[in-house]
Amino acid sequence: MTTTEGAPPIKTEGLTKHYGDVKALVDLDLEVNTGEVFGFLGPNGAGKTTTIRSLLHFVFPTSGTATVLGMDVATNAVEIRSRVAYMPSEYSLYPKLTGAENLTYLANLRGGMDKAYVTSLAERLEVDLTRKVSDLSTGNKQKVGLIQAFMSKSELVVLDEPSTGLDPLMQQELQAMIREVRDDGRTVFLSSHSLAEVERVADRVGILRSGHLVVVERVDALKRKAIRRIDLEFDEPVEAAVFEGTDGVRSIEARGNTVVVSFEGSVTALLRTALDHNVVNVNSREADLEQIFLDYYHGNGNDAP
Amino acid sequence: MLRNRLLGNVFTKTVRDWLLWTVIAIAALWGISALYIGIMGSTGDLYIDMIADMPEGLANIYGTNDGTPEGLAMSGIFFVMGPLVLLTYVIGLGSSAAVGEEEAGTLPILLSSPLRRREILVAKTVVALIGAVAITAATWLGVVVSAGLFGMDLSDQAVLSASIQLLGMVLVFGALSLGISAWRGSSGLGIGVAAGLAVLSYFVTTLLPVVEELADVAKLTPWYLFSGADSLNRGVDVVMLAVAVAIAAALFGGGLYTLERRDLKG
Repeated sequence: MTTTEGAPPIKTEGLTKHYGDVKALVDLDLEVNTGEVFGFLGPNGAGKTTTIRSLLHFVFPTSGTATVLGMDVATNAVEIRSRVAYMPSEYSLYPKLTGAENLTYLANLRGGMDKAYVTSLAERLEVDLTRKVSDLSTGNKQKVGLIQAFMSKSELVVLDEPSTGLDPLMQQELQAMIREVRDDGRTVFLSSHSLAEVERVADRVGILRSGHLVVVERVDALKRKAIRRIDLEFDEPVEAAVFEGTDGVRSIEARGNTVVVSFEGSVTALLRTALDHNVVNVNSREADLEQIFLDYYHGNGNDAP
Repeated sequence: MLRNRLLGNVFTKTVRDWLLWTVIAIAALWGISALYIGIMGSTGDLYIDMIADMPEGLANIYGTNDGTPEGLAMSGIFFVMGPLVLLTYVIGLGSSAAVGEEEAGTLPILLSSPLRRREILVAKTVVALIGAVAITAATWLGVVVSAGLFGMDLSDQAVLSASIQLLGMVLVFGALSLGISAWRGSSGLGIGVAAGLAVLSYFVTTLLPVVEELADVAKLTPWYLFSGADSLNRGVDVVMLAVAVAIAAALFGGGLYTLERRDLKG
């Protein structure tokens, strides 16, 4: 075995991939920790799939290095794939085979399958494996693909847009399956353009934009960084100027007895300032995480290049 | 269950996938053999007279024509329909071996298994090769059986020699299809170039010898590795067969080399 004990499941240094003049991935430095669900977020075309395809050696990086489970992807691609489960974003199953036959074939290539476990996954995802794949709906084909990724109980599970075509109930089931992998001490690399999907299961997220990794953060830390809004209601009109210069305050809007403040980080300084007046009511709004991601997507995030 | 056993690895799965095509090719060649031998055995003289009246170049298209029903039947089988069926088979499957999974979108799932690209290509190529050999053997058998049924006096050895020589030639085009497809990731390009070159080389080999100054040019085409051997009369030309196999092997090697070094599509 060529793996390095204790090595991160995924580590890239300066990973770059150009397709002709198109810079699909630029200097990606990324490290995924063992036993975490890492959400890899970005809009379509950001470079998420290129990253994964580089890690699995489907495409050759223009420059940089990558290791998976401590092994160099350039020299150990087959060994890596024997220990990694992968569900591509775009793929086809064998249409003339049933779902069960597809899974049997793919499992045989890995040395066998736990039939009982496959059956339990099929029951959870409510898919009939006796039907030909060509007769299955898009969602059910996706479920067969998911079973393929989970059935090998690999130590690293790479999922590229796994919830495509799934209804909300099945998305929840998928999220439960992802958490179970993490609870089992294994690692999930979850690529998605959907914030909602990643937010529910990921421990950390990396946001990719136009081939650049703009931020890697824990989800809760990212939320703390978010610009939130607080409505402060006083017993009499308070001027906006009162809050100018207060730590974390980004904008202030005074409307009669109410002052609406947008702020970032700790609310302590803001509240201290407010308590110099008679506060009647406080209405704090949940951090708009969607806005954070949109900011990063569009290059407004603090760490964006 | 056999059906599931054939899902054991890429080789057996490919056998399962391509078995029908192989059976169809064999059935087609058996039918063609029976038809040619049956018709030429009964009404061959009419065709002999007809071809004798043709310009030399046009008559050459029908292959070797020694003025006998037997010769005409062999020409039809080994110079026209046999190559057509075998070339369709090897060019199609050669390309499919190289990029069939990639173009079908199944490669990402297949390669999520611990397989090397070359393992997939080699397994599929071996199946195509076995299929081509099986079709060749079946062709020989079909011709011999048909000759027996219709009372045509054919040399089993001559038929076998022609079958083997033909196999060598078609492998060149199959490997060309495979090599180009693997290199560019496009079955359309591989099939188009191989099929186009097959047709071109057929006509060059059959028509150019009419012009004395250009006769030697005809020897440069892959088709000459079959037609130039005259294996129906002289047995297998081992040198030409070896050249054909060497060219096919080189094209396969080139395809393998480039497939391992290019980005996969999809």
